[in-house]
Amino acid sequence: MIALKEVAFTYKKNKVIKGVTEVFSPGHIYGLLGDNGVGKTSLLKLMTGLLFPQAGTITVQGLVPQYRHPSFLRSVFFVPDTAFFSAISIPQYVDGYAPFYPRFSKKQFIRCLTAFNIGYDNDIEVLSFGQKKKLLLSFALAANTPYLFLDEPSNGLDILSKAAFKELLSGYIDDSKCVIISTHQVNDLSNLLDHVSILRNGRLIFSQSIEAISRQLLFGNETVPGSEILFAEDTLRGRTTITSNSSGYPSGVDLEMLYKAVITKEEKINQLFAHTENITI
Amino acid sequence: MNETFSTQRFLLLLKREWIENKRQYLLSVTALFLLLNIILLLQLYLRRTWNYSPDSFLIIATTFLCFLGGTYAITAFQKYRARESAVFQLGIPASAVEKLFLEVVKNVLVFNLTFILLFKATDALYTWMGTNYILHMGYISPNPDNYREKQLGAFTFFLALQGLFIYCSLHFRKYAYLSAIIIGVIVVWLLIKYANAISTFWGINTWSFSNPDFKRTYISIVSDKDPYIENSFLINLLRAFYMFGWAPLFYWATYFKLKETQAK
Repeated sequence: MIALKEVAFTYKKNKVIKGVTEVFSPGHIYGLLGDNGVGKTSLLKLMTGLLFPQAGTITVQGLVPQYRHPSFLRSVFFVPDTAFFSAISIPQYVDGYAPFYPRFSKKQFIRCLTAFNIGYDNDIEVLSFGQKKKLLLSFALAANTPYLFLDEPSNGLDILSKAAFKELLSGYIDDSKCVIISTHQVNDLSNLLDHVSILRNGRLIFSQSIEAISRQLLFGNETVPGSEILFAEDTLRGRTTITSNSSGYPSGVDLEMLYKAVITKEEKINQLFAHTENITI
Repeated sequence: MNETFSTQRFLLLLKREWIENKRQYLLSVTALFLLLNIILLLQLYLRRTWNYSPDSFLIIATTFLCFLGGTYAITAFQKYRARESAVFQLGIPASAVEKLFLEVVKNVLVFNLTFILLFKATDALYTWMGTNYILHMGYISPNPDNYREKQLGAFTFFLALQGLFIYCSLHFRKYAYLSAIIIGVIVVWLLIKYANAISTFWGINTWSFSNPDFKRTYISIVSDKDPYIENSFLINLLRAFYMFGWAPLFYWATYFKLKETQAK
């Protein structure tokens, strides 16, 4: 379990993270959503020990990330937005880095590469930006660390690769693993996340499971008579709305709509969840 | 699990380093040997005397060692300075001690031993050529009294300089090389200026920094008798500290710096 308590981080006199308190449990895929520069990457780096908080505490499985103990580092894998590799071949990369991760599976790595249409014997130097990203994602998934942090994983991926990534990730998660994905491209992660956290100006303004969201909110083109419209938007397909869900049945969740609604109607949306127990799947 | 140092993890770091840079290392050794020879031959040509002098070669090699060793040491933690690569370097499951030890092994053990080996090989080659008059080359014998001490003195100075450059490679994100040179010059200038103050501080007036001999110290005031006196244990201990203590001090500072380095 990852526990953050009143975490604050300042970079060059700019308060990037302001008092974030949150818990991330194994068995879930968390989506960390937010605009560019709101502190998503910083938060991931804080949880992986690459940045140190100025205030508050962070623990990952009881370990303090900023100590960067080897036992901690081998239990987390952080995939940054930009991949960085030396000029070696993929098998050499595996030979050099895989032994650091005791649960690394070469079979799984090759399966991921195949899904991304990358040959195992390639030189990394000749790969494109997107292919390097896919290579790193494949390695991260094959490392089988209990905690996986992905920063904008869909950046640089083509349409087929995005689909392949979603499939690989949904097959990766189990009760012992926790995945936290930061992104501003919310549509790329539809049907993948089971918890959504939204950051704005360094504050966590919304954090609910998809289950709770689908029970509380109704996403659609039609409004139920008598129910209050929480958010509405005119699109090419007509008027889409978010209303409170009084049907008793879970609704499909449109992450982009949810994000816009939380950003514009933060208080109203959160009020709706205030008295609801956060039901996890 | 030992969180401070594990031989197994260190060997994994070493293996990864070799996999990533083996080609560059092998090319560098060849280039270094060729460069030493080219510079030596160039010096012989410019002096217009076809005589090999180990004393002159030592000066050239020391200058070359400082320049090349400094350049190599300043790249030690280069990957920890840039944000993109720092994420990967800091995230490797190994402790700060192991990561530092890897750089110390690369710089201090591998680089220095390779350089000494190449220096000795070149020296032996030209000594053989000079003493056997091969290619009409002559030989100027070095002063046997202090040649070895000179070598040791030059090397200890370089070790301290290398330690400083390793620290600067991590400390400065920008202009690391320039900063290291400026700091190095200031430290050397201060040492020269206050060298006598150090021996006065320890209350040993017969001890001089300019004397490279570990066995005895030259004292000019008793010129009518033997101008040398035997070094005491305390003198040698202090000399060893001032000669070899700097580099470990810089490694120690680098360790703490590495522990607090962030991928900002």
